[in-house]
Amino acid sequence: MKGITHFLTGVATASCFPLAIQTAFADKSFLMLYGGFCGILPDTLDFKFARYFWKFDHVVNMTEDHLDAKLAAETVAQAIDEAAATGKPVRVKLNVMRLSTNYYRTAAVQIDGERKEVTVYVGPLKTMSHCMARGETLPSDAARYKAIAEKGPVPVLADIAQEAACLPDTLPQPEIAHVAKFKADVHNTYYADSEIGIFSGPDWQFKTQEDGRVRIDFIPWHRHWSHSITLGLLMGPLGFLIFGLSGWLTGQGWANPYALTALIMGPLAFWSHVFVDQLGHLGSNLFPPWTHWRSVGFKWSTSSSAFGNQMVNYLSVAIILWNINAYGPKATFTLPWAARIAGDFGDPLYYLVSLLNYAVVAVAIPVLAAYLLVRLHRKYIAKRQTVFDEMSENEDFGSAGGDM
Amino acid sequence: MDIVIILTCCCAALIGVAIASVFSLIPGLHIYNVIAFTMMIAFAAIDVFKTLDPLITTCFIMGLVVGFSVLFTVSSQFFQPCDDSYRSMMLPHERFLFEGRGYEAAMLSGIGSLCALLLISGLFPFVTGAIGVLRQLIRPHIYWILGLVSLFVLMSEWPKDHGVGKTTGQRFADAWVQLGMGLFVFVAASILGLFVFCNTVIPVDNAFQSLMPVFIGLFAIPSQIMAVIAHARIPKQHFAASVDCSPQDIARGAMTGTVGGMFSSLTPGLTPGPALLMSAHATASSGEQQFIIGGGTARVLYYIGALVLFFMPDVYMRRGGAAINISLFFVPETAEQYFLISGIIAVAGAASLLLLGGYSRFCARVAEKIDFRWISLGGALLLSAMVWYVTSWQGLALMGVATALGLVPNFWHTRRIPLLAVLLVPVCLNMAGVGNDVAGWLGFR
Repeated sequence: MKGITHFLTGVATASCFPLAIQTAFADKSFLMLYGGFCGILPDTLDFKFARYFWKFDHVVNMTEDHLDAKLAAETVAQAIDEAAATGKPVRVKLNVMRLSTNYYRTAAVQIDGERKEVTVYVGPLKTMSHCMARGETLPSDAARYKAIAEKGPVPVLADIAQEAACLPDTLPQPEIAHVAKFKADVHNTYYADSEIGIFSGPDWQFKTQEDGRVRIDFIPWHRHWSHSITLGLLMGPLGFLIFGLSGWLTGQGWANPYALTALIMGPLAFWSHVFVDQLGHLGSNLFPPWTHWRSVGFKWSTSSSAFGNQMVNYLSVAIILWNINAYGPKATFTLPWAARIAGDFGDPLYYLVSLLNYAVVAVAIPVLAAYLLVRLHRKYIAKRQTVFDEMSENEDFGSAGGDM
Repeated sequence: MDIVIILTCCCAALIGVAIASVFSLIPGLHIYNVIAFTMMIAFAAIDVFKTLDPLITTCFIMGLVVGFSVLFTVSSQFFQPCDDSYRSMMLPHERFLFEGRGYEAAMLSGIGSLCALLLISGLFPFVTGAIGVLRQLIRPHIYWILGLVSLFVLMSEWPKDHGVGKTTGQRFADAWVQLGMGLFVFVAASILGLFVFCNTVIPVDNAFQSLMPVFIGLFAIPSQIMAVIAHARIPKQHFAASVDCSPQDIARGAMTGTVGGMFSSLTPGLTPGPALLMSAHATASSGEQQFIIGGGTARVLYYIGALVLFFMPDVYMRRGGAAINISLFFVPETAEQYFLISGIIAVAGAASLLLLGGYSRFCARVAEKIDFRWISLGGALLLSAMVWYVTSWQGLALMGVATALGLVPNFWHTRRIPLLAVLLVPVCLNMAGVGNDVAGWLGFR
């Protein structure tokens, strides 16, 4: 999911602690910020720190003057076989090809475990926006494999490249593509396809599993120790330290209510990030140092899925607004079902009836309406997804947009 | 309500639009500066001013704000092309200009503005109660909401390096020079903001304009300096008969802009930049068209939407420079006045959108005939003169400091959004009740 989605789930988690809301009417502590901080922290650790300390065994540099698809494809294929032969992890990175501030030469890299092929297809020039919107026009993996079985990988990648949003007339002519073969059996934990596009990478780690297959991990430095339940435990003492020190400086003492709340809130806000990430494809390494592999996600959505992000964010904001109303000294709004019974939010029955009313009116109905709207749009209006045949349409609601 | 008053209000609003269209030609000039001048003139000629119905002056200011919010980005888009050696990436409308599609970008932005105007004039009158509840709900929590925005601005700047350094140290440095300077800009802007909030450097007569030199220094003058030193050539512009965007782009762009615009208009101390940054992430905005449309929607909702909250029954929220100036002579009392204002916004908005096509063509032709460097140089001199006139040499000194800080993001390829810590951090700390303590630690008290 996107950074803001994790940030908001962290804030929503924090808002479930009454003190985090009630402090706005008293001594105005910043407990809510700690929730947001813990929510986005795992990605901060990975993207601002962890990835720079990762070492690669093979780095491929293609340039505009030397668009060598063969070099890239063969390097990846040989790295897979090298990992199978040695039993050691082999890490490969294909560097981006930046032409100017605006334009990047792109190349699609497809690792097909069934056919034991790595295909590299040099694509058009794209801007950052084009690259980021790529997921919205991609077919699902199932549709792609079906088309590959009929036409072969290069024509399929050519179709995708021609459909993509890009700078017009920049697809190399004649086309530059290469298919490299590997021998090992593989377990691909990610999509079949990645793109050499913007920022850094893509990169992979190939490592033999216990069953003898070579496991393919995309951006292997991501979602390991930083996205674990284990590290989340440290957020409690860290929060206690921050708010305890603040309390000590202001005469409230170390073990003040804010420090004690942060002790519980920190891990939960951090774990909200870990939980939301399980909805995608990558999963994460949940209990290091006892576990070593990233889990495989539920594959319900992807980080670039507009609908997935919007709905999680909507839910987070709905939770925050509910808690602000329920935990404040006086409710700002009363819902119709609760208006029929006596009491306030301190009364469990009143609280539950209000919550049920809110869940129906402010969450279930809007989310359902949005879902139906998107389905109808996909079915009758949208024509932007690359479609190889009628059967492949609308198979993957999240689309194959990548999962960071 | 008397029909003569209504018609006079419409005329006043259209005059406001016309004046805004002239001032919007000066890149970097903010409409709140123009309103402040208007008020200075009005108070200088108080006898004439007193004879006018306050509603007419209000509608004039409303016309100024509407015209400005729809048109002001056109001039900066055509007259301030960026030099890509000072950027890690170009924004879509900047790239459109270099592809000869500046006019198309202006029209896309206009589509966003149209969506916002439809919402303000067509939908807002039916949801005043809901907006009022939302405002009441978040009102005590603004301090931590601003804190969250600041935290997100800091934590969401991801490294833009390309990971091609040969050693860990090189790759780490490639990333952290940019990130570190973003952090520096945030901290320095926060300190500058606390200083300005705690010290009256500006002569007392115009102390209410103490933020003017800071904002002109942080944003307007650096943009003009960068345009003057830019090694860029604006190609001949193509005036397309249609725009390349789908209904989905319009819907999603408008949604992003609506979330960002409403967020910034309901949250004191928040400007559209960081609000749009958060809303674009939150709504998973995608592609250049959605970015430009979203920007147009957010700007109009921020400037006009925030002002219309001042007149809205159930809300009556004074937010932003225009509302503060209007509140000096007019107090909204009835729903009738609110409906009049909604109608005035529709009229002024329609006039502004009708102007937009010709206005963009005019700016494109000016950019072809006159070197944009001279326009920016002239703009910088004009703004400096204005700062000197309103805030004396003290304001110029403050503007100089702010300008130095405002140039940092350009030279170090960081975002400009951390500069808004100048407002976010002091307002957040003051609302949390710790602004004085922090200012004291820094020696400002």
